[in-house]
Amino acid sequence: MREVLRGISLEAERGRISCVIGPNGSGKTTILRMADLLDVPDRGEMSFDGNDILALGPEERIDYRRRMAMVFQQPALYNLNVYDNVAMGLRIRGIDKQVTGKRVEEALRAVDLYDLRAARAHSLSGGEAQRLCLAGAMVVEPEGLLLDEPTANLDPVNTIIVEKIIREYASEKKGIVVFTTHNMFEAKRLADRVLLLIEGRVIEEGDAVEVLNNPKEDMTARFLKGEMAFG
Amino acid sequence: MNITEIFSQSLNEVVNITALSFRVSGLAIAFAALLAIPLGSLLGLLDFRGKRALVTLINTLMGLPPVVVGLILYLTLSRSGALGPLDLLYTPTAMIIAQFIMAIPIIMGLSYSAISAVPKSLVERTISLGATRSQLVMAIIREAKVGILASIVAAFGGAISEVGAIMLVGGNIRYFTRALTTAIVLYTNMGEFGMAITLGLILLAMSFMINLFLTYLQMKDLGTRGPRLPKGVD
Repeated sequence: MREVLRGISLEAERGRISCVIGPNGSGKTTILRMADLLDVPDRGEMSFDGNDILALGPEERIDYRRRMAMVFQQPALYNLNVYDNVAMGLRIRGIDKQVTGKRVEEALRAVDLYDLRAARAHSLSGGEAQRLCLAGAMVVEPEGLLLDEPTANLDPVNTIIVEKIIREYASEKKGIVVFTTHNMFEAKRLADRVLLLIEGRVIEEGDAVEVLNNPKEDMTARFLKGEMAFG
Repeated sequence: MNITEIFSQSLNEVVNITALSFRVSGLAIAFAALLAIPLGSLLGLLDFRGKRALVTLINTLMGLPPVVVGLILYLTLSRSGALGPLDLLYTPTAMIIAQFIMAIPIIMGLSYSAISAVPKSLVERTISLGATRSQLVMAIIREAKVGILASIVAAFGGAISEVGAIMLVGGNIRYFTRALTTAIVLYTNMGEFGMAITLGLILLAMSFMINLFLTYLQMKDLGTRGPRLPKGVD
């Protein structure tokens, strides 16, 4: 069995954007999956608002997941129209139809997909699908937003839209935002705190400006240099 | 009898044969679907020891020769058989049972395939959204509904075209257990080709309608998802 992560310690605060940066295969996605309880660590602790989430029972786990929202790297779309895809999270929570309609409309307008609300979700382009998934996450008004490489497959225009939404979510809703990326420039633009992960180990962690501009560790500097060469 | 009376009698018989075929196959598939769809869905949703062997068995049973089913059922329902006292041999009920048995593995196997084809990423997204177990199951079945519906349509198409099993357990009794397929065999053997061809055309039309509906479902589901060559590519 392969050890994917080791010695990880990540603390995310409300209203601040935390970024897990690292090359492909470093374990970034695994961190988010564990935060969403899709994977469970073999050892260690995880807490949210002071509560040990690894000790939660089945119903409590569902309640916890309803306080979080995850946007996966590859958009996963239901065989429904755009509106129903976005509304899915609200329907799962049993939210009233009128309230659902209002919130879905707001979410679709925020990601500039309102005009496509009746279109089949599978007819969307990659960028539109990613924005749809972001709308589907935001519409449930989560306390924690987990984004796995949210702009990896996006063109510059869509990237700007998504990054603006993330920034506004953190500052206005005061939620917890954790996103992963291998793009140093995106980390610089968005993150307040950065954790650099290489081969499942934390190399450096701290204030984004400090870590990305004045890395203390040699491996951090080399990673950033490599990113700069190809970024 | 004059020609009108002959025509009227023939029409009456054709209607009776067609109605019986629909009733027998319709009921057989309805009951089979009630049992096989939940079982096939559970098979697709759960992981357990022996799952692979069970799936292999179901796939094997999908190709069960109808005449073998008919033979086993005949022996079971005959006077000296285990269920002989029920007096079901040579009745429409026996025909329904035969087609029910043949339909179960088809619907179960195709439902299982449809459920298994729902992407893991979608299952995880639904879990991540905070779905309860029942909400997750409903979401998966909803995603697989076209495949599940197609399994019913395919099973019905197979049932209405089947001849071996219902010939053995139904007996092809006029105005009682004579279905489209068994009637075609009989009238062909008797040299009454007009009747045989009429019934054959009806059966063909029904098969066509069934397959047209199946194609409609598949195209509707694939819609914007299926692989498609762009225009202009040879």
